[in-house]
Amino acid sequence: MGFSMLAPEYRVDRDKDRCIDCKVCVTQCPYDVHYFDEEEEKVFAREENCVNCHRCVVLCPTRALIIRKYPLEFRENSAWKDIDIRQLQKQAETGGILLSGMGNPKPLPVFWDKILLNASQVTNPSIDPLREPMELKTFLGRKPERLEIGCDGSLKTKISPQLELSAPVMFSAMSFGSISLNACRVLAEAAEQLGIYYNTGEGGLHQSLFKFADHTVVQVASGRFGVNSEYLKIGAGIEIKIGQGAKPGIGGHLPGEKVREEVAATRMIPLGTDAISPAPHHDIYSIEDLRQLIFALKEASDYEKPVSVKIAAVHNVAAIASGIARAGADIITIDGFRGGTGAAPTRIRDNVGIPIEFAISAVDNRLKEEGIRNQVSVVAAGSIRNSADIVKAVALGADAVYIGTAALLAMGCHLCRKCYMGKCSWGIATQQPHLVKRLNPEIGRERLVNLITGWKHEIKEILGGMGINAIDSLRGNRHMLRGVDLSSRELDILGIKAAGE
Amino acid sequence: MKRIYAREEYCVGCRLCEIFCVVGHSKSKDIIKTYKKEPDRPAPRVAVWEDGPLSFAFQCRHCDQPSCVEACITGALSKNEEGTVLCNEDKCVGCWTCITVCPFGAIQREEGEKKKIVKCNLCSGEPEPYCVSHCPNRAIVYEERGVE
Amino acid sequence: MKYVIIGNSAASVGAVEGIRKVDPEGIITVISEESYPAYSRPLISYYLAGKVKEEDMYIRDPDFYENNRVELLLDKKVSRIEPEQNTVKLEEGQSIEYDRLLLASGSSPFLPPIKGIEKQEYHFFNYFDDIKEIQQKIQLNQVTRPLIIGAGLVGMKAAEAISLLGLPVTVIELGPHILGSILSDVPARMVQRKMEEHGVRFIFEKTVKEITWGEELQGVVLSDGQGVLTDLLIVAAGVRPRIELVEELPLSKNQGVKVNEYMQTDLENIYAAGDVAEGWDLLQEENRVIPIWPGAYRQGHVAGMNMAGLKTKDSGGFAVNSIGFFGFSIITAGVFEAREGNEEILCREEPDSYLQLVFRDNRLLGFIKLGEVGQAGIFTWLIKEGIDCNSFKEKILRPGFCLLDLPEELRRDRMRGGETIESPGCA
Ligand SMILES: Cc1cc2nc3c(=O)[nH]c(=O)nc-3n(C[C@H](O)[C@H](O)[C@H](O)COP(=O)(O)OP(=O)(O)OC[C@H]3O[C@@H](n4cnc5c(N)ncnc54)[C@H](O)[C@@H]3O)c2cc1C
Ligand code: SF4
Ligand code: SF4
Ligand code: SF4
Ligand code: SF4
Repeated sequence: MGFSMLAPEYRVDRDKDRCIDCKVCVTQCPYDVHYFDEEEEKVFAREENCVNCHRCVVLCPTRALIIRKYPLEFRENSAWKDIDIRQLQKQAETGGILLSGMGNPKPLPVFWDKILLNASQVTNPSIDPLREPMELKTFLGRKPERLEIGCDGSLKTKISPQLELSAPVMFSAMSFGSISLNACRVLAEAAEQLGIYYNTGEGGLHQSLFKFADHTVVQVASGRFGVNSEYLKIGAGIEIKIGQGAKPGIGGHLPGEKVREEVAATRMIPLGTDAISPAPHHDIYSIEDLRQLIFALKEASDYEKPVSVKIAAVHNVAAIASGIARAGADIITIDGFRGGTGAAPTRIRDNVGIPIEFAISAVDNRLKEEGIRNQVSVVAAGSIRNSADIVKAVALGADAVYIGTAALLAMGCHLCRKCYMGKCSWGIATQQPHLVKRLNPEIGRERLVNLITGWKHEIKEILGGMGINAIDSLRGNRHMLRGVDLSSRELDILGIKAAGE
Repeated sequence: MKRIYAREEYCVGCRLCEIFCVVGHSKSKDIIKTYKKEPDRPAPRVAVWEDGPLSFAFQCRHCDQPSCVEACITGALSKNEEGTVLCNEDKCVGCWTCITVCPFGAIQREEGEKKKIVKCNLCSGEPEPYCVSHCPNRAIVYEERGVE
Repeated sequence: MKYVIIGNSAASVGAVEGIRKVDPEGIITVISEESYPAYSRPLISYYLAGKVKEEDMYIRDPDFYENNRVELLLDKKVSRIEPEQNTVKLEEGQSIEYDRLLLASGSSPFLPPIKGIEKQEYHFFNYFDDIKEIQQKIQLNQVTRPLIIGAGLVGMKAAEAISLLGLPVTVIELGPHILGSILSDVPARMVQRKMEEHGVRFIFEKTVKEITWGEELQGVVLSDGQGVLTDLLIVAAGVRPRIELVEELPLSKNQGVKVNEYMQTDLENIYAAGDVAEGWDLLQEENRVIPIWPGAYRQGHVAGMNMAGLKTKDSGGFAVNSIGFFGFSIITAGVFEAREGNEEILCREEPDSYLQLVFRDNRLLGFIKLGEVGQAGIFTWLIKEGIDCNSFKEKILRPGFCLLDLPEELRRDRMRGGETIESPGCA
């Protein structure tokens, strides 16, 4: 590669008093950092390759390794921060578009952290979820205007198809291709075990996962990969993907080397060809076009499945959401600007879109104003990190949330954000057989189920504290929220009061 | 009887099983001391075989009718009441007759000067064999499967 | 039930353990003309070389006989079997009754016709006592130029042991190369070179015609008239099954005593096992003596179970050998020559190692593996099971050949292994 002006990003510190030269780090690093020198009979590192994925750190049996930021000081400059300089240097060396994996890491405000929750004291007693029933069950789909009940007490109104969730959380769209089959399997198995759903993303549904179809939302994206009538009929719901929070307005590109046999077969494309999702759906240029696609899909699935439309949270998200509701969607998924991805151009990821917190309240407000809130469920995605974020999202007006990054972290991801290199050392975002093996679906599933089970307990605890015994009673209940460190304009848009008010 | 089984689809070739097998049978049972202070530490009784993405850990099957025990010319090998096939390393003379008949290729040899075999003893006395409890990906399991 | 076992070696111990698996009650009597508890015959050369102490010669713990309730008669030679009375008669006159008898008398060294040998001092290399005599002579510094007749397995083990004691050994062999029963020419030369590097000298294609053991001149005269001096003569010219006790009895025998798959002779309650018996040879598909230790134990074990009433078939075996000289290992099994047109030989030769595989119709028939040990047992298994190796033949030649190299289905099946009955017949 010739001489590089790039300084290493990380430094590998090996404690020689602990290292036993067992070569575990050598076998485990997919980036060729550690190597064993036969002559010296010792393990060394090529630090410049390190991406800080922690694989070696976690597996080293003697805890001999520490990965640190490379101690390289740039002359202080508030305009030119280290990261800006490094990115520029990299681009000067490669001449390409900078690529990134996972969500926006920039130090923009995280509004979840500026919103605080309420709890009951004296007047409205809190509830102990260990002693009293607490309902987290959530239904997603169009709700009727009114209910008609027959004299015998039976329900006369025909209810549109719904997704029934044991808790207001689902695993967001991550395609087979961007993640490994083992990772897809973890999502599917965990969704089944938890009584929730996962989303196929735009990669189609692998044969081996058909048995989890009842817990699968199948996605139809601009590339239409893997879409056929069986696919549409088998899932529990269908999602049309218009946009993604990490890269609004941008299509997708799965490089040919990841399109191995199974991926090619599942996506229904030739082996080894690049899988390119166009930026727009070429048959959608208006709300009317979208309506056509929604109904084409409903028709194809015998009107038995709710259809969702996923968009990125952008400036006029509220108006778009209204259009989507009117186009006949049953669910609107909004993906905030921190949403994760397998690969996105860095500049787009870091600069396009709006925070999900604002998008939820804007959409919820708009749909209520127009009197069509009951026609759609709203699912929020992008940067949901914990159970408190979920509670806040629901209180702001979401029906449920999607988690992506959080689910991957539970499986073993260490957020090195090099997904786009296809060498994920944890076996998640890769198609290389020797790396895919690293994710044992059994372990992944257990961990993911643990995570959501823990969250469920926490949500119940928080609801109980508020004196609420069903998640439904929290939805859009912004009285339970207060803002800190927010301008009055921001408070207005979020529809919440300032702390102390 | 409970045996150790490899699950090749999850073996990541890290060889932690080999490393901890050695630690488990060392004097100090401390990983750093074993490797830094015990030059006469035993060889691993489990071997990780690897070819491209395929890899798995393998050790003695503790056969119901062990060919190795029949063949051993010194009586060093025996099968105990629990079914574990054990080697009395003081008796072994390193004639490799057992290696010549073990139908799995499961017997290892000590490295260097020591002319002896080493073989899996299911970590006698431990609740779970070292290789199993230290595999980071559950690519080896210790369980009762019975005759298939 | 009364069990009597003649002989107290591999086959005998196998039989005791076989009987006790089935019958904890019956009375077992083991008779041996030797004066030791069961010891390892293959270890006698190790003992001579000082690599094994006397207490480690014994293949079972000292309480073996007691724990298995065996009456052990040492220093007692059986002189007759009387099938009509169901008794065996000891040399000193005593009769012992049996319901089931096992002949596990093994083999005895063969003495080739050499003029003058009856008048001279020579040694076999077969029993513990032989070795003790040799050891004593060497310890008394009476030996300076040992001579061994025969470069077979026993002769070569003797050569190694004596050479390790620092003496210059000469070996005389009638054949063109050493270890003719298990090695072809090329590998035999390789082993020969290793032995010569350690000071062993060979004379091929000659026999000893005559022995002259005069006051001054001690030595032998070879078939070409050449004389070789020696003060320790070891005869290792092969062994013969010890069938002398059944010579007169109405049961079929060739070299050894013929047995069926239950290790039973033609006389219903007389069994035979080990070096004395002609068991089933899986490869040659005929009854044959296969004089190896693992086979003797296996046959004894099967015989024991049958004697105690549990019908158990012997799977048969074939020759399997693992020996080594001066740290250089030699592992062989089955046949080493291609005879018919559908047989093929693959080889890998390196300066310090050698691997030869013989296939018939893509099935492994035998192998020779020198200088590397690896997972040799998998070869033996391939031979025994008659596995079609067509799809992975080349891989078998690879130095580290192991289960990994088997086709997926076979491999997965193997990896599950152990709980299915691994038939013990690899010997
Ligand atoms: C030096 C040497 C090295 C060897 N090395 C190997 C090796 O490395 N690997 C291998 O596989 N094989 C080896 N063999 C061959 C192996 O030892 C024999 O195959 C094995 O010992 C046969 O066992 P057995 O029980 O049939 O009989 P044996 O071991 O021959 O024992 C028979 C016993 O019966 C006794 N006996 C016989 N007749 C009577 C009687 N009438 N009354 C009382 N007792 C009697 C004999 O004294 C003897 O103790 C070696 C042999 C020798 C001599
Ligand atoms: S894994 Fe740890 S102990 Fe092993 S070689 Fe690497 S740094 Fe050393
Ligand atoms: S520890 Fe587990 S994953 Fe690692 S090599 Fe051994 S069996 Fe494979
Ligand atoms: S060493 Fe081989 S033959 Fe012996 S019990 Fe283990 S797997 Fe079976
Ligand atoms: S190598 Fe050791 S354990 Fe194996 S047969 Fe020889 S003496 Fe017995």
